[in-house]
Formats: sequence, C-alpha cells, structure tokens
Amino acid sequence: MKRKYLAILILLLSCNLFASSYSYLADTFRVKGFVAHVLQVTLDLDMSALPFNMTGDYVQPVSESDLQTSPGLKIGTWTLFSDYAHVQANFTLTPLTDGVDSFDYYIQFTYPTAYNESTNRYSYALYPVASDGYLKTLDIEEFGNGFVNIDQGNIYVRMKDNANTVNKNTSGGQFSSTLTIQVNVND
Amino acid sequence: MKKIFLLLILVFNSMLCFAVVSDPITANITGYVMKSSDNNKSVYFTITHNDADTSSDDPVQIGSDYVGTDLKKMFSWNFGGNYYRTRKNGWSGDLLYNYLVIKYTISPLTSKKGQGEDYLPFSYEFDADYTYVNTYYLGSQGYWINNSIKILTDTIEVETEGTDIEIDGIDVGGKIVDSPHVIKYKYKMNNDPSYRYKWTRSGDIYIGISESDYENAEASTYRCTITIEIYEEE
Repeated sequence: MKRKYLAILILLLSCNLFASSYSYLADTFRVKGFVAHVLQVTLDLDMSALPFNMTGDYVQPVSESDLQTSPGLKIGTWTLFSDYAHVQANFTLTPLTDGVDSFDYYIQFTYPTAYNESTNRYSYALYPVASDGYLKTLDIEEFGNGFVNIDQGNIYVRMKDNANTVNKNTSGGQFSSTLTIQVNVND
Repeated sequence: MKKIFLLLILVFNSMLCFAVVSDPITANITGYVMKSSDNNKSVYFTITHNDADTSSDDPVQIGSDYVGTDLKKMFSWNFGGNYYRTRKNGWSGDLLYNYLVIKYTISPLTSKKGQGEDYLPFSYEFDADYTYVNTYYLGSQGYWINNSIKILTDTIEVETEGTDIEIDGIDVGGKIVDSPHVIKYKYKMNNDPSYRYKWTRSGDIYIGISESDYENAEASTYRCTITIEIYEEE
C-alpha cells in the first residue's frame, strides 16, 4: 500500500515539474481600467519618422477615395478613450511651410468603424484630415461595449502634390506644420 | 418635492455631460525636401531673358542694339538652394565639404564656317545682388538670425589663364575673344546653421559688342554657351 501511494506521489510531482519547464507566449493583452468619467486623447509621434521625406515613395498622393483606405507613411499613434457613448474628435491642420513655400498634405487617422464581440476586435478605417486649417470633425461611437476606445491607432501622412511638383516648387529645406486635436462629448 | 429635486440633478448632470471637452493637443509635424547633394541638384538656377525662360536650345538674338560702348542687359539670373552642407553621416557629423561652388563657363561667340571658326568678341558683366536667407537680406555685413550673425563669404576664382577678368566686389566682368572664361563663385557661410535655410541670390548679365568688332565680323550666326555647374568643394 505504501509503495503504491509513494509511486503516485512521485508521478504527480514529476508531471508538475515537466509542465513548468515549458512556457510560451500565446498573446499579449492590454488591461485598461478607469475611474469616474473619462475623456482623454493622447498623441504619440514617432520621432524617428520625423521630419518625414516630403518626396518619399510612401507619401505620394492618392485619390480622395483612396485616402480613406490607403495609408501613407506612419508617423505615430493616437489614443482616445472615453466612457461616454458618443464622442467627437476635432482636428485642425496647417500646411507644411518653411516660411517661404507651403505644401498641403493629409494626416490619416485610424478610427474604429465596427466592433466584433465574439473576437473582441475592431474594424478600422482611415479619416483623412486636410491641411486647410479648417476644423474637421469625426464622430466616434462606443459600439455597445460601454466605451470609446482607440488604442494606439496609427496615424499616417500623405502629400497632396507628387514629388516632381514639390521638387519644382521649392529649393528644399525643413518644413513645419501644426496639428491640433480636441475631443468633446457628442450627446 | 423629492421628485423635483431628482429632476434637477438629472438636468444638471446632462448639462455637465454636454460640456465635457478634453484638453487640446497641439503637435508640430515636420517634413523636409532634400535635393541631392550631387552636381546641379543642391540648388536651382534659372536664367531669364527678357522675362522669359531661356533653354539652352533657344538662340538669343544679339542685334545692333548690343553694339556700342555701353553694355546692355541681356539676362537676369536667379539662384538659390537649401543651404546645408553635406555631412559625413547624413544629418550630423563632420562636414564633408567647405564651399558651395557655382561655376560659370562662358564660351566665345562662334560661327563655324567650313573647317574654320570665326569669333565675334564680346564683353560681359555679372552684376549680382547680395544674398537673402529665407526673407533676411544678408547684405555685406550679414544678418542676425537665431542669435548668430550669418555672413555669406564670396570667394571669386578665375580659371581662365591669360585673360583680364575684373572683379569688383561681387561683380565680375571681362571680354571674351576666342577662348572661354571660367568663373567660380565659392560660397561659405559662417556659423553653419544646424538646420536648413533657403537662400537666394539674383542679378543681371550684361553683354556688349564694340563697334569695331561688329564691323569686322562676317555676317553669320554666332552662338555662345553659358554653362552653370553647382557642386560642393573642400
């Protein structure tokens, strides 16, 4: 009796040891929590991507319809989180200028368009903001899961003019533009 | 009473929700246009004849109004560039070159007849303005930009031997008979900027033919070529 018991015990311990010698990363989960009402937007620019090459291949212009589906050069991410059901993101963007020459361009913001409960995943589209200085508004919904969540959505840039036109209209240099984002509740 | 009180709270909460706005975020997005640092691409250069662009294939007619003692303006020129100098490691590191050079080669006015060549001597003068950096006019003493004085130093070198070329400040003049003149404007800016400025300079080119040279020349079509090369030099 004792022997049998001892054998079983050893077997169980061995199983545990074998199980703990393997480990693998199945997936990474981000856990987010909030306290009280939240309406927060942040922008994280990739400084290794800026200043970006205004005549580069990735920023070449596309048609107006393709601006919503074809991302340009990634320059960072934006995060928007709110426990309000409907929020409105407001953007203004100025042209790229060196004080003498100016060029229009677009920043494309990734935003969610649908949410799949079974897979816990969002579908995304691109919202292009033109550098005309006028206010652009994007309405974002919470999709029935209780909060609006854009978690490090990519942002991209595309030029309005092609490389030949840009090269012809400037002698070169560094250009600067100002982007402003503000979010409000849309009830 | 209680009901009314509840209603008030609800209304007040709704108003608060409607007025909720996040703090605005403002970000600076930067881009650049870099012309190649190889020949002829660091800067642009245009020659305008009588306010029209002139390509190298278009002959410019020199009529009798260019004959006389005074030189007559024939061309306006305009060049500029993003003033940066090539560094060993792209954006940073030691400078690879010291000077930005704009080199003019002006050929004689030539008419090829049979196997020989006929020349029509002519005088020229490059009349230059001082440089603008962005919208700042440097002048001869330079200009303070971002807490440091920016002065563009012109060094004018002549490669043509045995020919008198007069240099007066930043203006150059001479007479071409049967061999080309080569003039190099070498630019060096002190307090090398850490980022790029756009710089421009303009001026006029005057041409003239003396009466005696005109009378002695055979009736024909004469052609002259002005070549501009732009590059960096140690």
